[in-house]
Amino acid sequence: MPENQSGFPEVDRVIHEPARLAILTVLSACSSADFTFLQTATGLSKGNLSVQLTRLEEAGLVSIDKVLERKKTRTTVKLSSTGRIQLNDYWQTMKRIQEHGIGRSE
Amino acid sequence: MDDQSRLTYLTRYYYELQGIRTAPFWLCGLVFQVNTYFDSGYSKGYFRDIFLLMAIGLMGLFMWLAGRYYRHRFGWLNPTWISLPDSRVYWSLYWFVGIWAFYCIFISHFRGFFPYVFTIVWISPLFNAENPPVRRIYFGLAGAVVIFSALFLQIAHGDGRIIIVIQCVVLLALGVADHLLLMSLCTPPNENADA
Repeated sequence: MPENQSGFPEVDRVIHEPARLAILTVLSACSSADFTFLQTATGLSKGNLSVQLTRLEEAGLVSIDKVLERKKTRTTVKLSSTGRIQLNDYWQTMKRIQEHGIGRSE
Repeated sequence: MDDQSRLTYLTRYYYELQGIRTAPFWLCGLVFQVNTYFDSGYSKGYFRDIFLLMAIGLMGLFMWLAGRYYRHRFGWLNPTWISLPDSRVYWSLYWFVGIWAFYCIFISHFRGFFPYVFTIVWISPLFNAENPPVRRIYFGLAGAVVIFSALFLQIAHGDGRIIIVIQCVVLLALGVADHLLLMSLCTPPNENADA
């Protein structure tokens, strides 16, 4: 796991952003979810959610599927296997940082 | 409940919290029991059959509309999680009530509604530690109401149909409570989130 100059483990900046972390948390608890559910759960606006999903897709963490259903586009989002691994790594890094912090305070 | 727990819980229990979906089923049960309770016994055959068919049709329509409402209002997801309580107390009670029901039905030849078996099935959220305390409390209270009413009616030799009415009312109330919990877990759109 990479570490920065202060000795702390390096955090994945793509995942660490609160809105993206919320999206990934939802997707890690289900097989796939649609755009409306992600919006309901995370409380993000349509525009913001769309931007965050594009960033996550560019990073290869999620896969987005758009299907035309009764003249409406239904967007389904799924966590990729890379995304699942990176999210687990992220939580392990956070745990290490917490342990590091506790170790220092003691 | 912190935000991570809220998101995970909401996603895992999304379909379980859609309490309004089952509401017409309990409403129908309630209507039929109240109908038989006030019925003086003479046959109303034709009208009764039409009433039954209409109620079933309306129930199906309401359930379909409720499904559509949840999908449009809150969205859709493909779940991977089956919620089963991991409490030993629950499974001990489950087997105890199951064996007791088996004894009553097949050995004592009891012919009637046995509320304890049904109650032990729907009371499972009380024993599931993943549920927020408020949900466990209202399921516990609902279970206590049904069990004590059933015991009281058994001791007092009361009309057994009353317990079906109580079960339907309690399950209807639990459905509404679950729906309100789902609403409270869903946050309104937040424009201040980072873009």
